[in-house]
Amino acid sequence: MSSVLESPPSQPQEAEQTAGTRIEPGKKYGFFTDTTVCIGCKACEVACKEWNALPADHLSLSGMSYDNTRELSANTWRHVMFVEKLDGDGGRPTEMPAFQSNWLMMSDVCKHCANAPCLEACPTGALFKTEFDTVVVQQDICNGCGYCVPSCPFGVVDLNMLDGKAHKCTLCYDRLKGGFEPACAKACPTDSIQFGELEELRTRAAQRVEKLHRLGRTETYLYGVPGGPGGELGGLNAFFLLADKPEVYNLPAAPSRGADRVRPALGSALGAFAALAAAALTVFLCE
Amino acid sequence: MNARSYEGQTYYGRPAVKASPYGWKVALYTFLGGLAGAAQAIGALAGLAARGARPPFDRPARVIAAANGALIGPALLIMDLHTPQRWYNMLRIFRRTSPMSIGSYVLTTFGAFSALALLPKIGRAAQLPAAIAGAGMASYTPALLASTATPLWSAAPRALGAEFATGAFASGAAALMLCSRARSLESIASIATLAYGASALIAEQEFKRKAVDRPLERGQWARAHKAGLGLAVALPLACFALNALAGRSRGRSALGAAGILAGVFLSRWALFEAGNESARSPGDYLRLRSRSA
Repeated sequence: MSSVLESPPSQPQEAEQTAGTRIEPGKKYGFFTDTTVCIGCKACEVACKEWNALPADHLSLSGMSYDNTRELSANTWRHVMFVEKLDGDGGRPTEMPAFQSNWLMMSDVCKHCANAPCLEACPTGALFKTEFDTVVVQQDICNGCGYCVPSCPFGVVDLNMLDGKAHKCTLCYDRLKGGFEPACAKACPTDSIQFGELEELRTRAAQRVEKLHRLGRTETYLYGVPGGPGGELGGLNAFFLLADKPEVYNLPAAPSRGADRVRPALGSALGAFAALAAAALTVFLCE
Repeated sequence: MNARSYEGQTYYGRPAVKASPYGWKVALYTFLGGLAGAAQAIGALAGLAARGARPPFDRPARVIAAANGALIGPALLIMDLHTPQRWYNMLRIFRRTSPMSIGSYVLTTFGAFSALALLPKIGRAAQLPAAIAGAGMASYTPALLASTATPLWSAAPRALGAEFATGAFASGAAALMLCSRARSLESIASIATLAYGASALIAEQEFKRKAVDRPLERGQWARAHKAGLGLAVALPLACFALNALAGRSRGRSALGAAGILAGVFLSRWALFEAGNESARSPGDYLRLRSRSA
């Protein structure tokens, strides 16, 4: 994926203007998605579809609030979720709290995990870590085995049955190479999606949580920072500020690393096989 | 926030993880691959016990192993790829975190040595490495399922490993039983299918404990899974017990062996489909992953 847009080291980059960061190979980049300022405009979805030339998935209403996108898929790499928090009896509340107004919105995306289970599962090396510490499927290598699909703990990676390859968010690998901020982050009108260097984003996010707690919103927390909820995979390069439990946003509270289960399963199977082999040998010797 | 536990919320009941694209083809591969690996191992062990003299089922063991390891197995897997013309990319890298990558090399090794084991002179030397790779054939497939995020498959890696390996050993012995009257094979099949029943029972208890057992409790795949276990364990044990009490009958032996083959495959296929069903159930996944392991 070498790009004609690749910017020489001396020249200014657009990302410095739009995201306040210079994009250089060897540094870690990611998204900080602050769901408390998301207004559900779906500009990120549109910008992503436009830049990546992705076709539409569904052309019908889902009945799930304003979420007609439904899910992340081979053709949908940003997905704005809408959670309407209604009273227990299902009635319409007559008063709205100032904060979030009973609306939770979240722009979901590939998490670009530090220890990405999709990458760890990929047998061809099509999934790899880029020079920007993001996770990308190389379309010229993927053979469509589909093992990354059930391996993703967030249900992100998907097969396109038309081209027979796995697809997901590339964190705009091509744009990063050219010194451009990813399309979704650039299009976000409220800066709910922030692109930048990972460490800087984490500092900024921690300050935001601190501020929200100071203002009394103590239910807010970061999802996907090492040591915190969702941090089980060594941290997520695309992490989130949430205002309710992870499950409300369809996120596992403690995503697990599939590679940790290879040894117990393989060991137990080989042990059982060896035990039966010993039994068989005994039967043959006793004949 | 960490102290909170899962209270059943989902996002409009939408799946939280994606189901695998694997159906009967991959299920059949795991069944035939394990069967072939075990058949080769049983043949090699019999040769070892007889100090090099060839057991009556030597030829069938080698043929079953080579046919599945070098022809049918790879064909089924390549057919299941969505870009099959790039199958060789499986051997482009080795990744020890990926059972699919481990399995690509296990299958290549098993297929190659099993093909060599058919040849007149080097066949003798090639059987032992083929048998060792055969153990891998029966063992990497449960690791492949266990390391996904699918609730049912990932809930009990050890139990799943034992269930697959014992099922493979039982079906390997059963396949050889259909080719040879050797009494030893019936004893081995009895032991292996008993072990298979026990490990399937343990796995079911584990699934229940982790609350991911619903697709194996209700629905058509639950019925298929139970029917498969009955065919693979209860039927052959009854046949072999009658043989032991009332004298061996060729029909009963064949019926027991056929029951093992049909039953292990049916329950394996059901486990695949039930796993895909569990992936579509967000509650199962979010509950299973609500706390660090």
